[in-house]
Amino acid sequence: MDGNLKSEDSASVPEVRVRERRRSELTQEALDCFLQRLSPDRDLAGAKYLEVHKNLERFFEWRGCPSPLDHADEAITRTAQRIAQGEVIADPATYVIGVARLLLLEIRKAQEKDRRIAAAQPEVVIAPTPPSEDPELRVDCLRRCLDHLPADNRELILLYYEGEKSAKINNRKQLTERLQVNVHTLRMRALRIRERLMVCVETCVAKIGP
Amino acid sequence: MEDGSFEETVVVRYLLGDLPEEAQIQVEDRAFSDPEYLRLIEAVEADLIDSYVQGEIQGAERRQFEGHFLASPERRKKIEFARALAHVAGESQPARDVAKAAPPSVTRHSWRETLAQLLGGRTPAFQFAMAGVAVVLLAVMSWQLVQTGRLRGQLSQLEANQRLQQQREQALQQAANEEHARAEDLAAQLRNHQGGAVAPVASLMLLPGIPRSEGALPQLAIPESAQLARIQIQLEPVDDFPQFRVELRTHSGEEVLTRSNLRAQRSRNGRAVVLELPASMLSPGDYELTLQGATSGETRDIGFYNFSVAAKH
Repeated sequence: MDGNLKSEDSASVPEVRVRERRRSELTQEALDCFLQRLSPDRDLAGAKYLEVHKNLERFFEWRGCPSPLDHADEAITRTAQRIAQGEVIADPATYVIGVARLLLLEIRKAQEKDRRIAAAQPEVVIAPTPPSEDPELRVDCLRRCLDHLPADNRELILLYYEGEKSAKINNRKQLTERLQVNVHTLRMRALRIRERLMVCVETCVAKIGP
Repeated sequence: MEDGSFEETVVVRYLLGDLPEEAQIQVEDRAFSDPEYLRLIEAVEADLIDSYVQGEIQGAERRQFEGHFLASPERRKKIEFARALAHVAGESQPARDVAKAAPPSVTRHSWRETLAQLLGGRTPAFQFAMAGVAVVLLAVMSWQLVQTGRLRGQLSQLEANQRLQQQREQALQQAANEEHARAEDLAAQLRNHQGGAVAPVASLMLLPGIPRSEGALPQLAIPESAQLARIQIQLEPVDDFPQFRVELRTHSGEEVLTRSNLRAQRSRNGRAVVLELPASMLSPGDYELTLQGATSGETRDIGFYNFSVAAKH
């Protein structure tokens, strides 16, 4: 785990010691072997690679890890290296999840070690996390993204998330009746629009943020 | 959480890191092999984040959530997004309910007593209070005037939008009718050519932006002899993606087919995505089709279409 820990006089200017966990490097050859194992068709292999990576991100996120993206890269790198070294792996998409579980144990161990070090030091200052963007910026971006949605999707998402408790339930009931769909379909439709909006908002924040 | 089913409870416990390791592995293995279950987890996660943002999760569960969900920047972004969504959805509610809204009254719970006390004594305090009431009344009336003006403006805007939408729908409907007539014409020509045989392809055109809640659903009539069904999904100019993905489900949400790597084709009315599938895959009933645009590994929803399938005798 990347730990940002420092023992120091709290009055002095904070100086952060970053302890980087050693990460493996993915060579072009190893990546090619991994893609080849996913599918001989390069386009299909690319699509499968993205799916595998997304699943790994989900896995590390669900398990409450600090850097799901980096951990996903690391799991793929380790699997790719084994394939490049000649290990026979029939189903890399499943195998890589096993590698991820082993990596998770390492991450937990490193976290535990960091906690022990922190507890043993008399004055440990955890480096402050960088301030997140202005919440108003995200709201403004969301308004912009909503403006770009088709009108029926915009109305659906706003009505779906509008109100509290019983008002929300009533709104959703009205939506199922109006759209002639069941609750499950409505929920999945709202989720898809929500995901699409979130990508749009993050792109907008990155573009116009500080 | 709205759905208290056992399955969702397990997912909530999983997401809060509250399941034994073996059960966690079972949840993950199922998620990575069953797309429906994966979507369920994502839906439950979104609900859980919303509940946290709205303060509906308390006590130990809240601490568990914070311990687990605040660990990664990706998840913190999800929480910030949920906050923004709740904020914006909350804003839209008063706009919808404005006609029903009443101006707030700070003395509503005890106005009778207050009035009786004031009328009981004609003192400077009484006069001062009456002047205060007049000021408040004036403020309320001004507020109502401003609100009325604003509502009129919104109403005009809505009417203009509705007119535009109707014009657009009429144009699209006309295009659909022309396309249908052309298909009928071709089918008739084919029948003549084949000595009276029925056209082997059943076709349907789906248009963007047509409200699906009003009127009958577009219908795909499949003749008995049809081997192939052809669904043409008309695109708008903004739907500029190199590839498209189509998901077809029954009305109850059961997956019929998913097809990726589809490309837009030129049609008489612009561009369209064409889905061809064996007619035998479509039994009579209602269907929902999701069209997504795909670009550099990401897919984005473009539209949802409902239609019905009927057997044509």
